[in-house]
This record gives sequence, C-alpha cells and structure tokens, in this order.
Amino acid sequence: MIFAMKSIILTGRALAAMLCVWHPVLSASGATSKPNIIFILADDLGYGDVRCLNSEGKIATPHLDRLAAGGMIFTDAHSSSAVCTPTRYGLLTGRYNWRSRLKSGVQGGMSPPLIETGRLTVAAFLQQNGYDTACIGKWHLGMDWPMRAGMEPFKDSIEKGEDGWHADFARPIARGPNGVGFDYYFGIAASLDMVPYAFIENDRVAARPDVDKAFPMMLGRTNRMTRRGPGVASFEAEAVLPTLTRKAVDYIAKHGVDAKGARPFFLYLPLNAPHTPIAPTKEWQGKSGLNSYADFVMQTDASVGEVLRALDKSGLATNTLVFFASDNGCSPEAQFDELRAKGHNPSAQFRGTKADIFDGGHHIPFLARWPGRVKAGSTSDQLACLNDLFATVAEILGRRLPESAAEDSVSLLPVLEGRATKPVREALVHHSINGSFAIRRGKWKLELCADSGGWSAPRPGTPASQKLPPVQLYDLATDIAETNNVQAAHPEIVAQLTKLLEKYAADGRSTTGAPQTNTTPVEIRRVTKNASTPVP
Amino acid sequence: MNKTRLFLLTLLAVTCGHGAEAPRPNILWITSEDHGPHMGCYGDAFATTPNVDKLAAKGMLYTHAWSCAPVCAPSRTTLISGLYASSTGGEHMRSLVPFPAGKQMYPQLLREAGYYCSNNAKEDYNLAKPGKVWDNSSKKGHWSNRAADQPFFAVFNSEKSHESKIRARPHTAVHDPAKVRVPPYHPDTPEVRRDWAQYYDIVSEADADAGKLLAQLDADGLTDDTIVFYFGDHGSGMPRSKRWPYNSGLHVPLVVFIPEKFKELRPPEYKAGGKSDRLVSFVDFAPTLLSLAGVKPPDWMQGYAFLGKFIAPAPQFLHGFRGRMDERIDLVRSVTDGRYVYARNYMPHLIYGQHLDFMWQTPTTRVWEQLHNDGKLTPVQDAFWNRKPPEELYDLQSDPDEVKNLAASPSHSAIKAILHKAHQDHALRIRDVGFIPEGERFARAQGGSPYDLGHDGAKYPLQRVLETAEIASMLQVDALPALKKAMTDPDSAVRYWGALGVLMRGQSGVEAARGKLRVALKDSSTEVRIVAAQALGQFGTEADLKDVLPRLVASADWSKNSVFASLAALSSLDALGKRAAPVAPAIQALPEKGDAPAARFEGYVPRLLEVLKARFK
Repeated sequence: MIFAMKSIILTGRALAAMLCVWHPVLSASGATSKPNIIFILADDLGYGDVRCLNSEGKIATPHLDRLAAGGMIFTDAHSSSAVCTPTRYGLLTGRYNWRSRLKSGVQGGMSPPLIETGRLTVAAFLQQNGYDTACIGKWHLGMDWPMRAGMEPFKDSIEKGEDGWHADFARPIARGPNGVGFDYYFGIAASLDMVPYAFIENDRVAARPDVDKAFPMMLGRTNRMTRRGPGVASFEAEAVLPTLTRKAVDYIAKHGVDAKGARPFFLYLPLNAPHTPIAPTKEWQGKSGLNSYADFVMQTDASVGEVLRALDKSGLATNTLVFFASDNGCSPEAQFDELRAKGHNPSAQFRGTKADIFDGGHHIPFLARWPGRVKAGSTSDQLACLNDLFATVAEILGRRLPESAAEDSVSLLPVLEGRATKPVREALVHHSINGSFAIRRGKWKLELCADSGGWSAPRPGTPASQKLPPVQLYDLATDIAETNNVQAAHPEIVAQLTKLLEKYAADGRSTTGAPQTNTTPVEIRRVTKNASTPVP
Repeated sequence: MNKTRLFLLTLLAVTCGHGAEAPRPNILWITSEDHGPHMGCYGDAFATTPNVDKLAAKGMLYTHAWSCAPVCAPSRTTLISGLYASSTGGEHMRSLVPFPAGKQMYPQLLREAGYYCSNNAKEDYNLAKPGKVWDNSSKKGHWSNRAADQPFFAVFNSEKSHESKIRARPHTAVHDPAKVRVPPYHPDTPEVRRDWAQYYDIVSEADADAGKLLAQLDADGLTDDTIVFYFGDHGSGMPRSKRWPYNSGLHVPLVVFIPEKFKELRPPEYKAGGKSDRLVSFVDFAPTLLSLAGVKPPDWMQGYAFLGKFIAPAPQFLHGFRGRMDERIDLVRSVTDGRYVYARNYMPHLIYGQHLDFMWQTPTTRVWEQLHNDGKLTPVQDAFWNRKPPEELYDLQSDPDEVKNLAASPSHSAIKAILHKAHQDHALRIRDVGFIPEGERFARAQGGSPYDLGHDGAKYPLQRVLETAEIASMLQVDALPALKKAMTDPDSAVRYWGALGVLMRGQSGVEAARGKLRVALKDSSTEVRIVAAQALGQFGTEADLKDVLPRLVASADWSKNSVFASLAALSSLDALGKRAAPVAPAIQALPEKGDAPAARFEGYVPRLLEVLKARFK
C-alpha cells in the first residue's frame, strides 16, 4: 500500500508540474489548505430508503438526493459490520471491528470503552494535524461511567435498564469521545433504546437522570417499549434528532469563514435516527403515507438538509468534504411487511436486514461531496468500506499512517477524484451480529456460515439452517439477491477466499505493512455452543 | 480523455521520459554544531543571523525538524546511514560499531549516481565506514575539486557554534547577557546569562560562516544550479538542550532553498519565504538527498523523502533517543506528534544530571549544581538534579520549555497512550537495539553489526526484552513477581531488565528478590552480575555489601574485562557512594588502560575512575 500510495502521489505531482493544477489541499501547511470534513452517519437507514439509490423507493429524500447530485454515489459500499457498535469502531479506527475484543453483538449505553488505549483514531489523527474535532450524536463505543459504591463495573453487553442506576451520574465520565480524539462531544451514550436517557456534554451528563423512563419502540404503539431505566424527566425521544441537528448547525456556524482564527474542523455526526425508538416529531408524522419509520426517514433527510444549509451559510461548503452513510442496513423494526405492502423495500435489491451477513445487513448508502474535487453527479461501483475514511483522510493530508493504525483502511481518494482505474480494495470482509464472517472479492462473496448470521431466515441455530451447506458462495454479478448458493460448483473459489480471510485474520491487517496483533484472538469460523451446527 | 490533455501527457512523456538527460542539481549542506532554532527567521528577535534569515526569505523553513539524537555523533550517525542510530547500535556517545551488512552510506549511492561528494570536515560517525564514502572528506573538501560538468554534493560543517565555544573565554560579549532569555529550568544567575548570551554570539558566527559559503557559491555562478540546506546538528549546546531528547535538544533550524530551475523537486507547500509544518527528522535526510538527485531511496532506509522526485507522505510522529553519554549510561526514548512531546525514561533510578566531565566544563552546569546543593533552586530548576519519572509528557503549545510534566494528567491520558504506543511500535519497527546492554551487544554480534543482530529474532527477542524493560521501568510495585520471573529467562537481556527492575525498586525490591539476586551474581552475563551486585550492595545487608564489593571491583578492572564491563561496574561502584569505602584501596589501584573495540571508547573509564578516586582520596 505504501508503494502504491507513493506512485499515486508521483503521478499526481508529475501531472501537476505539467498542467499547473496541483491541488492546494495537498499543501502541508496553512489552515486554508486543509478541507473541513463532515461525516454524517444515519442509524439503521436502509440502502433502499434513499430515493436516489432506489428508483423504486417510496420515501422522498430530497436533501440526500441533492447531496448526491453535488458529489458521488457509491453503489457498492459497506459498513464493516451489520450492527452499530462494531461499525462505529471500524469507522473511527480504520480497523476491522472483529480484531477488537468485541466478537459479536453490540455494547450497551453503560459499557466500557471499546477502542483500545493508545490506538490512533481518525479523530486523534486529525486533531494532531491541527483540526478542531467534534462528535455530536450517538456514541455507542463505550465509556467509563463512575460507579456507585459497591457496584460492579458494566460489561460489553447491553445492560438491563434498571442496572443503569448503578452508575454515579454526579461524577465525570472517563475515556469517552474526548479520550479518543474529539475536542468536543455532545450526544447520547448509545442507541436511543438503551439507558441512560440523557444528553452528555464532554465528560458530564448535561442533566442528571432523575426518573425511570422508557419510550415506545415505534410512535403510537405502546406494546413494545425501550428498556426502562434512568432518564432525565424532561428528556424526550422525539427531541433528540432536532437537538443534535441544532448542535451541529451551531458548531458549523461557529467555524464559518468569518470566525476568528478558525481551524479546519472534523464533525462526526452520528444521528440517532431512524433507529428505534422511531419517533418523528409532529411536523413529520404521516408525511410519508407509509408508516412512522418512513416518516422518520424523511425527518432524518431534512436534518441532513439543515446541516447542509448551515454549511452553505457558513461559506465553507466549497472547502468541505461531506460524507453521508448509514451504520448498517435497515432494521426489521421498520416493519418491512407494512412497507412492502405499500411497494417500498428498505433493503432494495439486497437480501436480508440489519444484523445479517447478507448484503441487506451491511450494504449501505454512502455519498461524498467535495466541490471542485469530487465530480458532481458521479457514481462509483468500487467496493468500499466505512473503514476507509481514515486512509482517505491521511492521503488528503499527505500524511503517512503509522503501521499500527488503520490496518484495514484503504484510501478512496483516487476514487473520489475519478482517477482510479482498477479496484482500490483487494477484498472486503463482512461481519454479522452473531460474529459470522464473509469475504467479498470482485463478484464473489463467500459466507462462512450456513445461515443469515443475523435475524433473517434461515436464522442461526434453527433446524432449517442445519440442513444447509456450511458455507455460502454467491456470484453477485448475476445473483445480487443471494438466492443461489454455488459453493459446491466452485470449491476452488471457496478455498481461495477462505485462505485470504485466514491471512487477513492472522496478519492483524489487510493492507500492506508490518503484521499487527489482534486485540483478542480471531476465529473466522464462529465457535458455537450448539454442537449440532455444522462447522466447516 | 480530451485532446488537450492527451497532448499535455505526450509532452510530459517526452520531457520527463527515459533517455533525456535532465540537468541535475548540485546540493550544498551547510551545517552548524549545537544550535537550535535561535535565529531571526524562526522569530527569535534576540538572535543576529542575517545570512540564514536571507536564505529563509528566498527559500522555505521547516517548523518541525528534529535531529533524532540530541548529541553530535549519534545524530551524524543517523544522517549518514538513513537509519536510526538506535537501530544500528550507533546511539551511544561515542562508539564505533560495524555497519549493517550489504548497505551503504548515502554518499556512496550519490557517487554511484555520478555526484562528486565532499565533506568538510567533521565525520564523527559511530558506524565504521563500509569502504570509500567520500571523494574528499577533509578540511580541503570542496565543490571546486569536482570534474567538469559533474554535479556535486558538498557538506560544510561550522564548529563555531559548538558547546565548547559557549564557555571559551576570554570573550567579548556582543549579545547583552542582561537581555538574554533564561529558560525557566535554568537558574537566573550572571554565569548562566553569560553562557546563554555567548551562545547567541557563536550562533551569529556560524551564520557568518554560512554567509561566506553562500557568497562563494554566488561568485562561482552556481546559485541557480544549487539546492541549499542549512541546519543545526541538534539543539543548543547548553545543558539540558544538548544530550536531552526533548524538543529543546532535538529541535533544529532547517532552511531549504530550491532554485526555480528545479521547481519540480519542490514539495507542494514550497513558496519563497514560506514555512512547512511537515514533520521531518534526520533519518529522512538521506532518502531526501537521493530523491533530489533522482535516485530512488532504498527500501531499507527508515526515513521518508520530503523533497524531490521520490517525495513520500509525511510521517505522523518523530522519534528521538538518548543512550550512553560519554561515561554515563542511560536510556531514554522520545516521540512527538508536533505538539506533544512524550519521553520514556527506561532508567528512572538515575538522575537527569549525572556527572559528565565534558558537560561540567560549562559554567552553567556547575552553577546549577551548586545552587542545587545549596537548596536555592525553584522546583522546576531543581528537577534536573532528581530522579526521572518513568514518563514525561509536555504540550509545546502551552509549555514550549517543557517544564510542566502532564504524564499524570487524566485529561492527557489519551494522547499519552497514543504517543507511548507510537514509541513502542517504532522500537519494534526499527528493531531498537538499545535494550540490549552495550557489551552484550558486541558479544552477541560476534563481529557482525548490531543492526543485523537486532534484526535476527532468534538472537534478539525484542518483544520480550522490551516488555520486560517496560514493566521494570514503570516502577509499579506489583510488577515484582514478573521481574523475578524475568530473572530466570533464557535470554540475558531479559534477565538484565528483570534485575534492573528489582534494583529500581530499591530496598523493597531487593528484599523481595534477594534469592534471585544471589543466583544472578553467578549469571553467565557480566551485565546481569553487575546489576545484581549493585542491587545487593546498595539495598542489601552488610553481609551482602561485603560479598559484592570485591566482585564489582574485579569486574571494574579494565585490564581483565571489557571496557563495557568496566564502565558498568564503575557506574555501580559510583552509585554505592560511601558504601564502597571498604574497597577504596582496591579502587585506587584499578588500571586506567585496557582493551577496547575502538579508540573512541577509551576515554570513559578514566573519567569514572577519576570521580571514584577523588571520592576516596
């Protein structure tokens, strides 16, 4: 990778010398040459929910469509995992989530920090390069909550709501977003269906939880509620998205061209929507004509619009690289049956949903806009991953990545600038909620599980799944819906891809460089307690 | 592709294609000894440096240039090889070790490419030269000796700003001692002011030397054909700058001028009078030179070209190191991200200001120590006379003098962890050989280079050695079981750090590990035996002391042991202070001569002996 990077830069330099179009952004000094970076991450938004990605979609997303029209659409982009916490780990570290200690599932709102002490994150990296960095929104990567006397520390799993009271909310939190490179943090600890129901500003809760509370998982349907536990009396689910949006707008305004001594900024904006609790505000209720989830998607789209409008107003839009993505596929909580009945499929052409090893779990919307650098209205079918943010940013700044950082991150800059002539990624590893692995190279996708690895049928451990071959191989060029398992016909592909995945796991990295150590050992074939589940 | 672009690309191919012999730049390096960025062009209004200021106005200066080592020989060793001296075993001041097999010093690669290479005149490498390196390396080294139409690379080193000139008297002050800035770690006394002011005077002299060379280049009509570098070889020669791997000891001025004719060799941020905040250090200079000469830097070089055809992305961190300084053993590693400086002290049981003959010749050092003895220093000034903490962290933005250690600050724990990890990754990447005692290194290399030894995982299990050095020197009390276990490791370097960790914990360590230390007195490794003896002698019983003193004296006998064993044993006897009194007569009788792998090692045993003999006079 290092060599490839050199030659890319040389090509650029040689051309620049001739064409006098050397990009000022590659200058190592001077704040103006460094672009601002905004990364908006929606929560559980399906590929099919964005109108410009799905011509058959039934939800209007005018602001995302406008963002896409001004930049590039990635049609083959993936989150590193099919669920929240691990994807966010990959996004911020540029390292596959399964190298961390969390091998399956997600954390809770009170869980300890997942990002290893000393690990360089993209935020810390940008901070070191003179950026002002902020995280506004849903964290979900753990933090050290101070405990009440005699209480055991929290674990990596989602805590019971009532156990949230074991924390001492009067004291400061340690090793949260501020501890991994964010100068400023405002948001919620994890998903909005997890305790505590409170905003956090830097290392303190903005107001102390004082009541037990829970919200309906979907507006107007009280049969299923979020976990009941500590919350702030005045904290309401539907106010969260507007609050985060307003905070982001204020942050951008503060960094406007007129701001005194403004440094370039990195705003990481992980929204809480349209994840459960599905809670659109009054203004948006009923707008989609589909259901509350679709209304909430529309509101999410409008929030992105507000952020983009603030950026326009600040005068910084031309020197700002904006990314938009989702952390995984759409969740069944959106009520797929209801939506399908009205002609809308949040997973579009892909099989499965959030949590699955199938593409519906992790094939996500991914848009990038950078006026002057990324061609407006362009589309790329390059295989890409959210982990790639880190290496992309490093190449933009002309900085070399330390070998022990961003081990699974590949720069997308050649793609963004429209000068990539072949795939920038050799392959990409996928990971499902139960820790199943898949690897994708070119048209081939090998899944090292017999089942969905997640929530769709065939569910792991069910009798149906146990009659299936232990691995699945799909030819996505002809079978994007993953309906025809061709593993028996192509044992050589199965063997090659398995070997490559084994190498990635063993090397502690999937990019060129010195081998690294996984935080805890990696087993690419899921170890299952159910002995009857066939293990290849 | 449209037609215009196609045309331009064709043009590009023709202009830059193979076969066409483009003119190559001459390269002139003007280096000055022992001076940091105390220059007008770096915003120091007290400094008088018109010549380099003028060069900076038409060229570009680097705001974050580090010399890797805070002292001459190791920093020059890094320059000449393109390898960290901590990787080649040339990090000790001074030393001489074999050069890595199959590699070259960069002038050899430049000469192969047709350059005439001259060095005027200081070499001072801690690495043996692998064959003929320079066309001319002497006081006569000069570009004028090259063949017609031959591009040149010429180094001129000014000694005018050397540490020894800070204290050369008589001297007529030019810069007013009353107006000089005294950093907060130094006591504000007339002697200190005079030294600092004289330092500014000699920096002006180095600047004048640079001016003469630039004038001569101009007179020879070569200015438009020559890329010029001006840089200091490490931080200022004042104590705690020189020899200390903080920013104060590693931050050097670096001004680069690339004539218009070679503008394609300029980095993207280059502009006349501009500043680059790219992180650069001495290990990057060799690949950068090759890159300017159109030669692809070999992969084994550990730095990254920051100019020229083969420019590479900038690193995220810079690294510094300190090993033995003359007669005093130490091991410090440092790293910066440009804002924070993190120092890792692997020998925290030693004070910063270990007595060092050469440094004590500077009046500032002596006054500083005297005021410490008199109890008249502020805590910040007194720190130098105390033991080092295992870790130091400084924020250059708010604390440019590096006096507020943030290592224990909870709000800085994240950056501290990142820098600590960056240092460890770096040590593993370059195979830092500093963690193997100097004598043991020679023994294990069996005539080969320490670099090749270091890269042989079977002979140097670095991961295990480094882990032991980490737990040994972090000073946690609960590490004693692990240290005792390390003392039984098959590798003597692991045992060394295990024993040293016990010694660092003083009486509690020795009480917990007395049995293991007794066994270690018979270890096959001299260094392990000496550390065990010191631990028992310093913190054990009277019987322990009586047992170990003759052992240490025996090891200190240079006529019967290696120079490294003798140095280590004498250091231990020195650490015992008055407790070594029972063997005073034997110490007085110790020889001041012995064998050494090179003459560069020979001056240090006599200096330690001098200290010890004076103590027991």
